[in-house]
Amino acid sequence: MVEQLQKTVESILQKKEVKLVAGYELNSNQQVTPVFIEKPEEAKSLVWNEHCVFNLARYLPEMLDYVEEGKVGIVAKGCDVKAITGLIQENQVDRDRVVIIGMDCFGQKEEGKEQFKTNCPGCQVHCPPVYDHLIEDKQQNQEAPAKEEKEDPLEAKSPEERWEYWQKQFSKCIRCYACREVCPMCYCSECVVDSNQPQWCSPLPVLSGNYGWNMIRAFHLAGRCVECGECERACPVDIPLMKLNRKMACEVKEQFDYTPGESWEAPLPLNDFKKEEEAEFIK
Amino acid sequence: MAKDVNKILDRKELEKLVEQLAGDFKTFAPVKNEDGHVSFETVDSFDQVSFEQTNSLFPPKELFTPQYETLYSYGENYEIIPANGVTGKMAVLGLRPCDARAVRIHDKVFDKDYRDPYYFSKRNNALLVGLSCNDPGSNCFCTSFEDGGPHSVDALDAMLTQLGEDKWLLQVFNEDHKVMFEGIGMEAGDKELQEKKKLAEEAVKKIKKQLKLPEDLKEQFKDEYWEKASLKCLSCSICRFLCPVCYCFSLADDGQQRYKYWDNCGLKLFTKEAAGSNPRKEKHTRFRQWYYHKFEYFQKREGEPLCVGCGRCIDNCPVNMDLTEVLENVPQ
Repeated sequence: MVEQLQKTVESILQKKEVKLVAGYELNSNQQVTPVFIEKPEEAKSLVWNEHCVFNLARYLPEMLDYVEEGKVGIVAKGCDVKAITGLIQENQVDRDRVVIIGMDCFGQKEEGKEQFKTNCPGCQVHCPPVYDHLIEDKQQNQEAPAKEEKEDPLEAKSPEERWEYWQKQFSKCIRCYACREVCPMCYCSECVVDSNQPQWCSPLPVLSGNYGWNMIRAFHLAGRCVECGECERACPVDIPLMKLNRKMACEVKEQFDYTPGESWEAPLPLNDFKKEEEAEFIK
Repeated sequence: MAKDVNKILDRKELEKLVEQLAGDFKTFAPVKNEDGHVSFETVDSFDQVSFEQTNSLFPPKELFTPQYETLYSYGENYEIIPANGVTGKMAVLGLRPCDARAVRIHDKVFDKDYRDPYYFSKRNNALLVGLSCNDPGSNCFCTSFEDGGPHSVDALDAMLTQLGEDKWLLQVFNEDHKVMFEGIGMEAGDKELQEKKKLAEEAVKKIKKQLKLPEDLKEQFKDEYWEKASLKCLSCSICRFLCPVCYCFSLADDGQQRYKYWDNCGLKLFTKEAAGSNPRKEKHTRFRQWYYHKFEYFQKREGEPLCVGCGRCIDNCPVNMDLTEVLENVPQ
């Protein structure tokens, strides 16, 4: 796969089809890290393995700004393609300016960890649904992790117990905003939490501010989160943010029968109104 | 010159030391939480202390310059009520040499032009007991700096070194505190001091990472390198918040109080002015600032960089960015 990937990237840069490609390389500690390639000869530094956890779609708007005009390429797993789809759908990225190098993927693990990333079990997009070039995994020497059937024990708990659980989790937050910065769908030019005139939410790492911040983010991602799991991976204090995002996704699925990241032509459920929708909350 | 106090302790004596410290001081030491993350918390027994890890996730800077603190509050008639600045005696146990170096740097920073009473009210009451690193981490690069190393004693009043499974060497450097440690352990001999010396030499050899600073960063300020290099950076605050020496802060009011809280150069709002303009609007200018403050401005002003080589920024970067690589690749 690596060879084919390197060749593909080298060729699209050579043909000047794209000006810049986001992919993965190894840093001096032999850990996978994102890399941005401009010259065809640099393509040989690209790698592909089970530690390519990063969702490079997060970089797309910045990459398009960087090149100013023309196209950019992106090495993308199925979950990354869902984020690219979301960005196109929300008019943040022009489909015509992106060349997607889709990667077959059967699960990713953080370096030094045994278990798969939180979004991998039950993944439906081992082969990216959209791509311009596909790098197939013909051998597939890794079995994709199956969906965990058992329900999250948190669901069975009382509201008081859940409140206690989240209080404990949110009290760990140090407000580094790594969850926001790593998220492909968090692209607001000014985040609500950064506003100080008026200040909607305390910038201090106190429970009220932390609760405000994390809840605002969860709600703003409802119907938009593509469940790539990057926020939870990036969190330095291990707040299980995907529990929140999944909960919101379930609500959206139930209310609107909608799954984010499937089509850039679909209207966004919370931006769209259908006559037949029940609207009992409007009095 | 007074004689150095060098003591040999076993686990029982170490427990006694912690109990004695906790009796006289509010004692902080590295403690592991349920998630396996280590921060400096109050302890009253050695059982709570975690010495296994090299560096704590959270640097001990938060003991002297907490992530947020109230400077003063407002009364009913908007009169100013000073915050209760009285801090009791504090002991910090298990400070790694790099973190101790950071404390020494902060002592300079917070006494430059203006002596920060909030910092020194805590710092002046603190006894620092270090812990030598016999097994430095893979991202440690403390030996890149003058006098820096896994057994260096910057700012420390005393230092512990583990010599064996159940054998510890306690060295007390601060005259004022020598009496306090007199009742603990047995006198160490030359043999133990030799053992410690050998461990220190071995520890230095275990450090694989070295920071190779460019000759002069001044000339590279406008280089297009920074824009390309910064593409990967997420602009989150992990490296700055977890850095033991990053000290920038902001002030704000919430109607009842004025408080001071950690801020950092990676955030868009950091340099945004009241009138709306922002001199560091682009990501690469904020990215570059971090390196320039540490290795150009501070270096020129104070004769040493604002970095101690603890490796936390490398260990915890969500996209595996490596500070030493970024600096090494600066075009000459």
